[in-house]
Amino acid sequence: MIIQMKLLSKSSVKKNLIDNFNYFHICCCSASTKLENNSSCEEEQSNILMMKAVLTRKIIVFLYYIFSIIIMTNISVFLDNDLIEWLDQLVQAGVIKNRSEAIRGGIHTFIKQKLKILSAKDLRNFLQSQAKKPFKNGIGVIREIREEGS
Amino acid sequence: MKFYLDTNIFYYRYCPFEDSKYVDKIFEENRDNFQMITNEIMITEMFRAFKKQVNLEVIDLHSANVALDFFLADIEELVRDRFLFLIPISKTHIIKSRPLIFKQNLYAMDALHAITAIDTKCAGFITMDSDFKVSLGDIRIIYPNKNDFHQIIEELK
Repeated sequence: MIIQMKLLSKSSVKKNLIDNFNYFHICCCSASTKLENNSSCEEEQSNILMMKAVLTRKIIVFLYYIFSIIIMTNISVFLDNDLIEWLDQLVQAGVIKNRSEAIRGGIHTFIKQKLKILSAKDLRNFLQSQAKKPFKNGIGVIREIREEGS
Repeated sequence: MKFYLDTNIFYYRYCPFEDSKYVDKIFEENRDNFQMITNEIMITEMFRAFKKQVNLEVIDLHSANVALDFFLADIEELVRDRFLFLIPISKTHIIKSRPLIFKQNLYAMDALHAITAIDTKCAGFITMDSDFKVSLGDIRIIYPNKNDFHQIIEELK
């Protein structure tokens, strides 16, 4: 769906770009013809000035569209599959509302802020406050896990 | 200078123990001079370690999930800061683990950690497990809770 939207907006930019370029070309031709025919007339000179202003505006719009195309084709966010999987787990657990919320906030810092735990020491204090009994000896737990699979 | 971190180092970093203060010092080392290496399997071992605490009714499921989400965010930050390098398990590691298992009678996970440390040419293997007595060639096994820890680190620099 995102790709479709991107394609649509790209084609609309392209159409605008062509329209603007055609208009720019017509204005140039018209201005040069008028200059040749009656350049001494004040009214015409004023018109030419107006035309110049319009042309300048059109050139700015034209450049804006070119710039937009360059930006649109280059900005994209790449997420590793493992990160997507973890973000989906966080969405399921209700820690974040959706993936983009975390991406906008700078994923890792944002998640720490959401959990209200900012350092390893904070986590230890949190677990200490939640523990119903002392944590099992650290070396023993990892040793047991390694022996489970053997 | 590269050092391998055993899974129990991470367990002491994120769970409340008296000895956690020794592990904190490892992560406070000058990050320009040190690179910490571990195998990705460490993450699975940590999942299991927290599940064990739930099974033993030390903490509830919610607290375990909060702890693991913080753990994952913190690990990713350490990786992003290029202080920690997570090495994926490869078939080469698995094949290379065979002589370690047969010659030194290692458990499968111990062998995978050991071979990752050898393969990445670490100067030291940091663990809290004083029973982990394995011959890793030139790699020294270092215990952060022993008095000579910083002396050994200085010698290896």
